[in-house]
Amino acid sequence: MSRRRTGLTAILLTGVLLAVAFTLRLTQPSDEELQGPFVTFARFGEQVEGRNLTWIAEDAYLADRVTALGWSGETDGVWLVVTGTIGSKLGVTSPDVSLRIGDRRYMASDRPDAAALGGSLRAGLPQSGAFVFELPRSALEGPDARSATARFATGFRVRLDSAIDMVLDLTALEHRSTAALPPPGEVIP
Amino acid sequence: MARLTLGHRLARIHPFVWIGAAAALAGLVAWPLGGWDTVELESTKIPEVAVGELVEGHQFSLRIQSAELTDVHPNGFSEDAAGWTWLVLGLEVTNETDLTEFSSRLGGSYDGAVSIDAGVAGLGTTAVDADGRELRGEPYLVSDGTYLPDLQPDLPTSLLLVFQVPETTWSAGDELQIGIIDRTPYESTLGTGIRYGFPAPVAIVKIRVAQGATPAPTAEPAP
Repeated sequence: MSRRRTGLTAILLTGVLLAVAFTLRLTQPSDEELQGPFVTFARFGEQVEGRNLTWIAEDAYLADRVTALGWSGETDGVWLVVTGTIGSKLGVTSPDVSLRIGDRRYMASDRPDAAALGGSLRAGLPQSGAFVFELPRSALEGPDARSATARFATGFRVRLDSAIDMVLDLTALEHRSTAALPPPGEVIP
Repeated sequence: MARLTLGHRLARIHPFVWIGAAAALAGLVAWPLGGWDTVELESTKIPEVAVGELVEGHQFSLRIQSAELTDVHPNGFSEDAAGWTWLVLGLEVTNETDLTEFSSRLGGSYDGAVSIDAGVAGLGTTAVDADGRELRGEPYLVSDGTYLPDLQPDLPTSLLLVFQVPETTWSAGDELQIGIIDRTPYESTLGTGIRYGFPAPVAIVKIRVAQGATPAPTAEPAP
């Protein structure tokens, strides 16, 4: 009787240990989660801070054509314009800004050159202006367009550092035929 | 002593002899059927596509649209060296990857997608420019002349690729063979994202070289 009880106990214990092992395996964070960024979410009109960046979003809209400082941006796609104020907290840095739609990631366009944000920032001197993204028109269709995410960070592949994300519904944004970009400029806090 | 039957005699033949005989018979049968002919593998042939036809790739899809020789650089200020001229390819490129790509990759020999010597560049070209550096096509955006424009995913983009070539290589009306090179995804890591490798020529485009702009004659100074 005693040997039978011992055997049952061993089987039960083995089952429990296996269940614990499976549970641990299933709940184990992926490499992406282990090394991913610490995300702060931004909303229009609210200042958010990461480790090194600050960001206040003002507006976002679509445009078939954008103009700035004598430059005219023609595209076969469409422009997404996100206006706001971005700043550096710790030192000179160049923000790395991208837009994720589904599996695709679009870097902020440097076609407007100095007419758009994206250049180097000096600590304590935020700059206001616009980031622009050149997108194919197909990017505005489908469910992924409802939850596009703009990311503001100090590197393209952020690992164990902060990032500021802002979710945008591209299907709900105002669509203009032509938009003049606001000239970038430093904002005295 | 019992006489061996035919069956016994055949059974005493070594199996290797049977195998050799079968192979020889197969070789003889294959002869009239063309089994010994030297053939070119279909997989090694690079298909030729027409000017303006889309070549779909894993990394970039391309459509070659024009080729012209010009002494006037599209950027308006680069001067050609004596004995050299500019070969300008007009093309439409679509970035098929999930990330914004650099157009600087298109015309290089190491990571390029377009070559002007029939698919050799990209797999180790020896062509050089006037400074003796490896020949690279410089990309310019057609719509506003941006140098090294980004290529956004899934957005067809019209570019000019400018190569510095010796004046004697091509003349207007000559046929130019353009090689299109594609790469396949082979690795994806958190640090690098999807990486593309194994370059292979996937298409050849034959195009007549047109004569582009020539510099305006400088006015003779008044006496």
